[in-house]
Amino acid sequence: MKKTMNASVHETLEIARSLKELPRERAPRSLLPAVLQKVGLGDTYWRIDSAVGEIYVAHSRAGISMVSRARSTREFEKAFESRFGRPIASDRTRPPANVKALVAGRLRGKDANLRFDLRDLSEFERAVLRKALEIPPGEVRPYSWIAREIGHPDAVRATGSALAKNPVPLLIPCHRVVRTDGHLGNYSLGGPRNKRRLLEAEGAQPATLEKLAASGVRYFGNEAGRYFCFPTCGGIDSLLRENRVIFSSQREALAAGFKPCADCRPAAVA
Amino acid sequence: MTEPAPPIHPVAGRPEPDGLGSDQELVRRILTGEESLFAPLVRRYQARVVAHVARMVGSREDALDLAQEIFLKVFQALERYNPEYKFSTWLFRIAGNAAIDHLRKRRPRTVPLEIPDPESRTGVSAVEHESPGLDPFGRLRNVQRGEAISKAIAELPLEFRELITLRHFGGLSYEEIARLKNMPLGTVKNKLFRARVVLKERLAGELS
Repeated sequence: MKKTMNASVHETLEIARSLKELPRERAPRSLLPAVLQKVGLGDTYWRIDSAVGEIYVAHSRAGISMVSRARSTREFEKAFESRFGRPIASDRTRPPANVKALVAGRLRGKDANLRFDLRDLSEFERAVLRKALEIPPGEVRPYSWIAREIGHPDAVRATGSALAKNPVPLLIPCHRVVRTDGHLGNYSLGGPRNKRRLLEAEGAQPATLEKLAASGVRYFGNEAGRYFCFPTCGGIDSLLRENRVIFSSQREALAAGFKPCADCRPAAVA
Repeated sequence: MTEPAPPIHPVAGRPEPDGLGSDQELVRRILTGEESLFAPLVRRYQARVVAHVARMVGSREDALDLAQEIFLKVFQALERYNPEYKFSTWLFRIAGNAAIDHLRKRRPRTVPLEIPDPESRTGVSAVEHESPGLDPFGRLRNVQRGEAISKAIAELPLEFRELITLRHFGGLSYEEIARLKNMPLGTVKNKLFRARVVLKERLAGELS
């Protein structure tokens, strides 16, 4: 009895070893995307026409995660997978109205009430992008404005880097942030030419802004109201010429007794 | 607040290859809003769940459908997971229930006689194997042996089949299986031993 038992133990160990030596099986690549779709966590994308051509807008339940241009759906899907490490599929539903309005530059980002999926970014980067959402279409702000508004007035360069990393350009309008000297600066969604095109489409008149900046104009003052603004505040033509005073620096405006505008906040309000 | 940290992996303390912390940690973060972490959690277990379920139900195709249902159930029930226990125990209990449900529903149409066909590559034998570094003959031997074992497992009584696949394809420890099946540890060991004896008998001559 004992002997057969021992033989049996030995044999079953052999079975266990054979089972262990079986090749490992893989789950097919299609399983994970199918699961994520099922639980409502799948990423999908829309293709939407914009002022800079067709763009791809990726989103999941967490929010909008990526906006980019691509030559084909395949190219976009590959770019998404390599950036986020998860698959993405085409969304057959129509994009919602607030997304389309944002893409068309008809809506201020913070009014669109959209959720963005910015979890890969740092707290500082998220603060920069949230601030950029406040700039209305047709207006621009300098990088230094964002840095000051988020409480890091010395971090102008870091602000520029954060905007350059914006995963959702157009929807978070980093194109509305320009250099103080009037240069438009770079743009991730197709370079400075597209930045100019977008600003023109929104009515910000980049050519006029550049001319003003070149001649040293940084702010418009309102003679009647005794306040001063960025030139695009409320739209570049909103200030009547007869009321308009020109300033080349905050100090000059403040010394002349003008207060910073409460809407565009060209200087810290004391 | 500070619960004692449970073992995070069958091999205690071994970090997860995806660098994302323990299963419990992932579940906690998913439940507090980081739902996208469900993807890495599925990635950790999808191969083992499919392998286990495929052998439980005898069809890889059905197993792939079932795996989707299983992970959906897991996601929906995640709040009910008790992190004092290992995640794999909980997951494989859900997987096992789904497989048994499936077998119960399907039973009427599996009763018809199946003529054993030695050429057949369908069912559980048609799995995607990952066996790098094997020469062609080695691979062939491996496939043949794999098929023989798969067939023998598929013919085991359900209880033995589940225990064998939990251990060898689900990668669960004896202790986890005992907890999952609400069986004393000794019973699990004993049943696994008997299951292997049956396998050995059926495979006599195949494994030389």
